[in-house]
Amino acid sequence: MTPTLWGRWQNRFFLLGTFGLLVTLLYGFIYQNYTTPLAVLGYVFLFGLGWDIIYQAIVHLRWDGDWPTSFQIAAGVLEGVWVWVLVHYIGLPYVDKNLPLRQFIPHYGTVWLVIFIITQGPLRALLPRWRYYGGKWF
Amino acid sequence: MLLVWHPLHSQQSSPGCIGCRKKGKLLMSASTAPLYALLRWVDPGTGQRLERLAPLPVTLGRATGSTIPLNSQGVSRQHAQIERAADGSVIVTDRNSSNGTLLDGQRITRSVLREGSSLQIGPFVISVTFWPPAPQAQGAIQAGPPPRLWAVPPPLLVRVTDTLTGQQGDMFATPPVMIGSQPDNQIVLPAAAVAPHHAMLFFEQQQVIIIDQSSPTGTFLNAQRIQRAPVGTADTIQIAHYRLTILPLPAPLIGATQAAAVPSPVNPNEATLIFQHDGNTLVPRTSSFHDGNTLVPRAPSQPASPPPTVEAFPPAYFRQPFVSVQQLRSSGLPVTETTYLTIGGGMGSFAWVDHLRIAGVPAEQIISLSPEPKPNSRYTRLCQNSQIPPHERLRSHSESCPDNIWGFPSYGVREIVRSLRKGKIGNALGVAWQLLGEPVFADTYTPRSGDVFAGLDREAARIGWQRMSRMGRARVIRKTDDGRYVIAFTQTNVPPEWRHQFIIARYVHICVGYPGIQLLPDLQDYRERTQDFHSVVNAYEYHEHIYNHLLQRGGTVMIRGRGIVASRIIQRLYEVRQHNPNVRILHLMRAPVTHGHRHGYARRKVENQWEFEPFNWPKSCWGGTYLIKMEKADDQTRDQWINDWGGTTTARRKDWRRIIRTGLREGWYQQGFGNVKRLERTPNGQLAMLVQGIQPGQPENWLFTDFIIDCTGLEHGLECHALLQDLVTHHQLSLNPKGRLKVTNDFEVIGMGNGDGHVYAAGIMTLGGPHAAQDSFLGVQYSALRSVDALAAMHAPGVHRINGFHSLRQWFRWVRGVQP
Repeated sequence: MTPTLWGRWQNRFFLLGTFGLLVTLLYGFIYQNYTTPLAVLGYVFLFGLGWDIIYQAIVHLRWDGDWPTSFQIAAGVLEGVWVWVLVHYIGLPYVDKNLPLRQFIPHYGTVWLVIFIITQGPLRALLPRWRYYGGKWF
Repeated sequence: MLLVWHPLHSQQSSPGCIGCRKKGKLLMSASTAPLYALLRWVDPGTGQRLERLAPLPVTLGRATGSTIPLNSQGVSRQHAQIERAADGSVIVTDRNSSNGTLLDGQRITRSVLREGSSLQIGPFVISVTFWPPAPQAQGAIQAGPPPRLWAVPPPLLVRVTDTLTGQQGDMFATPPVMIGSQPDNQIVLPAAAVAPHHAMLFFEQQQVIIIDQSSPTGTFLNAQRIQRAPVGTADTIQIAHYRLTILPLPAPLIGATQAAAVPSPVNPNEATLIFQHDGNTLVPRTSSFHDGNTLVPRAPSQPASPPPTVEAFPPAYFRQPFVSVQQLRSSGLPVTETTYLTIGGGMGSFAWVDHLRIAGVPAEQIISLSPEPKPNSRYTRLCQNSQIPPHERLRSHSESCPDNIWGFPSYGVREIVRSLRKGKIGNALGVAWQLLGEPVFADTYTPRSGDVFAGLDREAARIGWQRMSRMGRARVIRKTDDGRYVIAFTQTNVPPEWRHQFIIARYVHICVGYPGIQLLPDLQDYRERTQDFHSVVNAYEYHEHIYNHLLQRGGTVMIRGRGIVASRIIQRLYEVRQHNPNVRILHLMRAPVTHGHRHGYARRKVENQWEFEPFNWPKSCWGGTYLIKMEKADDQTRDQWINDWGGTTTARRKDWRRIIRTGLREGWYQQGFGNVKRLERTPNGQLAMLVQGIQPGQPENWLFTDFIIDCTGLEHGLECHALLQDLVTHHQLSLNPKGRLKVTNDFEVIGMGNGDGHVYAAGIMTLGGPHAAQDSFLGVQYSALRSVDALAAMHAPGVHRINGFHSLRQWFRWVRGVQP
């Protein structure tokens, strides 16, 4: 994919707000705690808005102006590590500082994987212009 | 592209005259007459009886470039070869095939092949006879009759008429006469509807026989499609829009065949008919020919008076600003009315029609006007000639799927699924690794051309392409007096009285692609002077003879150009070199490249004079930042960016870069820089090129080579295309800074609006407009989506906006393979 900043923000909002939310509610049910997963999802969205600006700067340095799949994977790992480090060492409101990794990784990993798969193709069946306009929905 | 019907040259020329190489083809003595093999076999799959007549050497194998392609798993890519030995005998050689070659039941590696022998190659049993009849004993051909002026039997005098333009020419041809679109035929009919080797005329028991070489468009004798039939002087042969008749030999000539000298049978001023194939019509062009020592400029040859059958078409009232529909209907010529019409019928037209069909337009409301039967006919031909057979990969993105407007599932995903089904786990993992790791950790994934074409066939069948397709050449486009457009066209596959027709349409789409094949000026000049189509070729032309020659005898090839085509040709030469180490490559470039193109902070990588990028434009030209900013930019900025992003590059493939490094180290691949001053043919048949170094004061050098392959590309000047040239002139359209059609961001041609009617354009003829990568699958899909969106916005009949659930529903129909 060759995203634009506006496309990245829209994707982050709509994909986390739909598929991300569904997965999070599922984990909330499993963990019998809705606040922590929902807050984690919110932080991934909020910090992501900033990450996207950095990603887009990297895109401008690349001849192809693209965002290879390997970068998308690396960014997923980076963002996950970032949120967990903040939660664990500094602490973020509405999230228990002692959030165990075995709860964080399955939740964050599933959200990320579902969104990754959807952006690899299925979304285009619904939004044929999405890929031309750098991931913009509207 | 210059193509020639090879008529007899003036006889005054000296035997060594550069311009008279073709004379040898006509005035052949028996000792040098080419030997042809007539191969007959039964296709083991279909049970069909097949027959091919081909000049030696003949290659047999699974590779599509083989003279006789044999498609079966039991056949190696290069399986066997039949050729003539120095002593005149015919030899069959097994080319290290996996399953071997059997001659009359005996496994052989190299053996004399006799008349009537049978060869077994995989499941194919092929009987072989020769024309002229093979030597009874070895050496008989060489020891044959003393040289005569005409080969025996006497030549045929053939009249060739182009029924589209009325041009006519008479020529002598020595049987067997190959007829086809490629320059290696004796009669060259440069049209898309003519197969490379379409038909063959030969003698059998004092009779002239014509065989159709299984051509897709067929050979007609007196309006009957034939496979094989005797031909007399009263008969008419029809191949595409060419009419061929065999004329009785003029009385003085019959005597002359016995005489010591042959008088010039035709007026020397009319001896050379040269046509330029401009992609749409054949136009005679001015040429020069080498007559002794001076260059004589020659006027285009025209028939003395046009044949009476060709009436003025399009009619005179097409010169007016608007054409009256009433007048069209009373013209007596067939008029078809439709809502949507696309002109070109290639990949761009296909993308537009595919989008229209998916948007909800029924097939009955769409017509595609094309000189070719399939949307990918021309593309496939260019691929094959430029060394991309079905198993090789195109330089195209995994998600750039002309058979699927969503690009999902991508070619990469489809290849993974196919490989898993066949149990090829390794290949599936390899593709997955490429898709995840490209372009940083792995070479960029690209699809196999054969898979792309197979997918196109499926999608064409799904949307009913055949029902919408009309075979013909558009001549002019005019506005009508009722807010529509009329296209005057010439249909190629109908009886003559229906040939000239009109189509009236409300919405017209033009995507005619590259007008022709471009040769560098010095090579073009050389070919016009010498008519040597053998040693100097464009990579997009058929040129298998070069590889065959190199395989057998080795030699030097000069490459011009440094793009993806040049890299493919070098790879093929490298493969040939594995069999014959006496192959050398000279790569002549104008100047060294010290650093790659720049745009902002980004820079293209260079290695060994080759500039790299995965595709021919930065990826975000197809989607993302560059696409968006291009749409917003003005003409001058677009022009500047296209120059920044463009230029010739090749894909950064590991295996290919290794070939270049090895070649440079071992010295069989050499690079040189300079400007060409002269190109001549040496007496021993080599090409001698005088090259001036790039620095002032650098010495001039002669370079010697056997062949030159021009890989600099396809011609894309609008002025080369008769239809577009007329469109721009008649409608006084303004052009963009690149000299192409000026279009809006919806790809509507500015200045062509007519009431409710609209004209859209796409493809390379809009370069310089809102989208850089119009010379690509995804590029023409993007322009199709834009113009179909514009149609939906104006509530054009049947068009729904492709989005959301409508899009999803259509995607499921695609998955199920049911019509939109």
